[in-house]
Amino acid sequence: MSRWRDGLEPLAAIAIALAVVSLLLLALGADPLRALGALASGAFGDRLAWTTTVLRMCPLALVGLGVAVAFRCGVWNIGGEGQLYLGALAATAVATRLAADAPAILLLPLLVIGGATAGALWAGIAAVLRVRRGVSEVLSTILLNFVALLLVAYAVHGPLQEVTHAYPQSGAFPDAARLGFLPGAGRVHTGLVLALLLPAAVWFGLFRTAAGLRLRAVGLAPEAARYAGIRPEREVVVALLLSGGLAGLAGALEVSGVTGRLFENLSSGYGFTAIAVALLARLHPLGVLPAALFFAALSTGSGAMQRVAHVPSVTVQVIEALVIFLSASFALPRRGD
Amino acid sequence: MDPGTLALVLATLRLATPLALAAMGELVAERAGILNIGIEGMMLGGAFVAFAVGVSTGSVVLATGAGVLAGAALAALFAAFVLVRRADPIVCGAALNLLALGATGTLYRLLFPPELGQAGAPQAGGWLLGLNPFVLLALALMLGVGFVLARTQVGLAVRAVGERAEAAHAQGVRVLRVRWASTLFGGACAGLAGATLVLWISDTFVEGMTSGRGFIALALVLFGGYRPLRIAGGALLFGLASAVQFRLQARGLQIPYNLLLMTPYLLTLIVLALFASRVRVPADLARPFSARD
Amino acid sequence: MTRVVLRNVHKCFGATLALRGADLELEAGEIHALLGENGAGKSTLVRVLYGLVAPDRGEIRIDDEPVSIPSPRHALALGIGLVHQHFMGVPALSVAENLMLGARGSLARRRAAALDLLERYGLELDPDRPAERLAVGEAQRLEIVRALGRGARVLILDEPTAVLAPSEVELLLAWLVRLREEGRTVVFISHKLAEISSLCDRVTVLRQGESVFTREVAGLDARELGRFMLGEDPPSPGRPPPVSEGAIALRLESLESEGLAGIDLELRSGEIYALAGIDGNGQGQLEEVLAGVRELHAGRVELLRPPLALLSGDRQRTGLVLDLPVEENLILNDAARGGRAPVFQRGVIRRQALRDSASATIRRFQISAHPGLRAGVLSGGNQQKLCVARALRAGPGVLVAVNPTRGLDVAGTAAVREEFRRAAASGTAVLLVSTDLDEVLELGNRIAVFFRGELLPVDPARHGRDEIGRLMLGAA
Repeated sequence: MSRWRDGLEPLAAIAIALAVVSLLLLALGADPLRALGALASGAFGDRLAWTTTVLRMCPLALVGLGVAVAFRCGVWNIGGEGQLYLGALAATAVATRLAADAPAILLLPLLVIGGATAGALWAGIAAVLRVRRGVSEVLSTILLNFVALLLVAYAVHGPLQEVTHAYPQSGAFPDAARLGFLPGAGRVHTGLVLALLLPAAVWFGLFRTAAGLRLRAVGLAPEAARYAGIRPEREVVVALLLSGGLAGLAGALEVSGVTGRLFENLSSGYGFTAIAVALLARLHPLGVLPAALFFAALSTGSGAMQRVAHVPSVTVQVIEALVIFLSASFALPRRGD
Repeated sequence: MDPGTLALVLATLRLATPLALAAMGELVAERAGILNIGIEGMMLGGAFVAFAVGVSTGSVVLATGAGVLAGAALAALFAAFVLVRRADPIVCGAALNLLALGATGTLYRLLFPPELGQAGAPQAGGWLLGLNPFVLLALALMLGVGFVLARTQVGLAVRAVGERAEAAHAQGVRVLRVRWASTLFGGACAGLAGATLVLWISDTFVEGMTSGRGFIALALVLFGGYRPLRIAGGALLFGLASAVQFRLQARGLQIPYNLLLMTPYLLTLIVLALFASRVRVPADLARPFSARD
Repeated sequence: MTRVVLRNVHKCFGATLALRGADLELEAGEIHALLGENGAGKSTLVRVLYGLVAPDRGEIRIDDEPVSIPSPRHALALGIGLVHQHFMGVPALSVAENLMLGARGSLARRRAAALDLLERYGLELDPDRPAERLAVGEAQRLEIVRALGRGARVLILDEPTAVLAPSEVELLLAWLVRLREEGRTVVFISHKLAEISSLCDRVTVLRQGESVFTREVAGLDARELGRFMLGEDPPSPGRPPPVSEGAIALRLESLESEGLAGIDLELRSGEIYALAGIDGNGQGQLEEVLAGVRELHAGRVELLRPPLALLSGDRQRTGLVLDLPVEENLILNDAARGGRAPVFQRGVIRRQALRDSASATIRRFQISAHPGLRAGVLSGGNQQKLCVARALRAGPGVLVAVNPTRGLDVAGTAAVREEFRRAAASGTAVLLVSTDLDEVLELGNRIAVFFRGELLPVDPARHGRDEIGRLMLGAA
């Protein structure tokens, strides 16, 4: 019975959100069918469209996976955006300054690991603040987002800026630091493989290992877990590090696979949309992929929706927010209450 | 007082006011057990609506009122999911921020495209004793909230609901009604704070202009130990820090601009690290309530 | 108000049928007992009357007029008051503020009324002290006074004596007699037969959600009542297991902590050492120390026959993870230790092994569930059995059980106690901490009394039940 619910509720959330938005559009005098049609074709209509969608799905899935893991441990990691940027920052530092001359076989793993580590450490700050000083991670991760963005701004105006100093961006990544493309898939980079495999790995870790059981127990009933000998503090730190690491990885893959350099506004709010992804997926690691695909499609299609049906792209954010609200009002695995 | 210091004091007041306004509203909401991280979005919504109404009517009063209503409306959406559907408040707050950011940004681009030229919102000038009306509002709010919470029946109900809603319900208190009212009040204050951003601090709207002030207000409630006077003190501290930061920028100190901008966030983190564990939070904060089994 | 009638009340909580056509008729000026074993539906029925629970079916009539009671507000307006089993006030507010909550009028007027109320009923409490600092008996009297202050003509007390020492019980009963003389109605919920006969005028017996009968107390004998409550003869209380002098399995030396003022204890294998006491004298703190959740200021815990299994006193909060399935709850302790038990292989869970092991445990302890079922949907009795199963299944050297039969029906209680006897017989050292004096007397080879963070030894030859009761209060 609950398996059915797991599948139906997200679909219901999407359906309701789309219905509400359609009513709003009707009220504003627009044609909802035309708008939604433009949205769909803008996301999947031609090769350019669906490769863009898949490209956007990649960071959403990875950060969303991290958010799901954290939420399952009762940790509210709202700092995915900042952790992603730190990952991109670290990868850029590695690729353009620290190891710029290394061969691809060394450079690629280095920048990927560096990015994941940077993201993990950034989330680790919030972990330490929570465990040692009792600071709610909701506030600390959000504040760290702002700091991360400013750090990146500082870097691209300063130490990491391209040699010509023409624009506030880093130098271009050397070829050795660029992820290759998947054959037959246009601009879709090989990092997609990670985005496809990691959810399965995380699922296994969460549901088939002692470590995963500990983490889930802490998220569901921290007191009972404590009495059973589990230390919630430890699991919280693990969850945050993992969560930040996944976001940092996403950031590294973005600069290496998509943009080829670092600049401000690298992420179009991936870190926040990832929260919607995790919730729509009902915090299930395997559900993160279809959820990420849905939101990536929304993002890609919004441009077409604006051009073709003259419906402003804000509609997409409204759909996103509604989906979060609706997903949140269905029962989710949460801290025992 | 020499002009330099006077300017610093005024700048401090100016920067502190929106923080204090939002924090007072959040204080009431949290005392009633509602953790609302969406005040950032409610502030932003209030700012945009105040800007739009201000530009089109030229009236500060109407713009302020509109901002307050916008904040309350967003709070109503939040309350509908958190109180009626018993959805998680953190998640709903995050969703609200997302909604506000996207909606205000794009509506701004739609209604005020660059071709139309730079529109300016009407500004609120000096008033009683040369003080801006928003400062007086903040003062009144601080005193009013403190008095109501400690010495009135309404305040007793709010505190009981935030500490142990189940017990309050068993004594006949209308828990949901109290929480609705507290949440709407919090949203209204956040909307008011947003209005000050466009009607006093600056005269234009910029996408995402709240820049985390809502979260700093959240931290202030904690830092102030849920006491209005201390919260106001904290707001002044932050106002001072921001004012000093601007001065340092103006003096061309050799600290890169972007690093300097980090100050308020880093300061908030430090303050939280020092004081968060010592504060006694309302026991039923962020816990759902159901009236009947 | 002269008559309150509840008729044909039905209530279902998810899969659990709590009430199926229960009836209750109350007259003015009587003390009416509501008797039934744990899980019979007594609390649910009165919560319907107080507006805390919405019945699926049934009607309520006051003085022959049908009424609807959708919330406590309505119940209070009708003159119905409920004193919960555990303190239902706001701990952070002061005594006076607790009395003022929900009352009418300005704050000043309410405070004056509150102070007057305290004086009228002779409650010597500091009105501005936070309610969380009240002792259990004081808190209960505060609750009663508050209900009376709201003009309750019908006062419901849910298992009031469960948290009181014998002499405090006498004080409470005297109060209730006074209320009856004032013409009020008292509903007295209990599962203890002895109290009913001395105090109450009429008794309604509930069994499995329906009313079995309502009768005058006078002339009823305890055995008859017991039979109606259970549907059969109540089991005779068991005896403590025979004990042979085993090795010391657990030693507590001068334990000092917040709430513990120097606990010394030597627990031997094969014995059941039972600690009686009123809730709040250090039992919770001792449990926390042994769970590793509370730090000691001084003293030492020496575990000589590991492992130590802890059966927590609060199965829903600290015992089980309700959202996890039965089989995962069973291996929680093993997972905490890094997953080294047979069910794991290098930290990875072996599914089939887990399922088989869980099934075997379920059979052994007769839990009515299957391994994949979410622990939260189990009945209270089965949840408790699950906790017992988890604690005992690995054959621990030491078992610490806190209030193990709280909220269980007679059959479940007997089953759990039998498990403890068996465990002790097979060599486990059992430390039983219970607020139920009868349980302590039934199971304990050795007995001590918890009082203000210390253990007072009890000699069964010299100390009878009343004497132990006095020790529990610190008067001896």
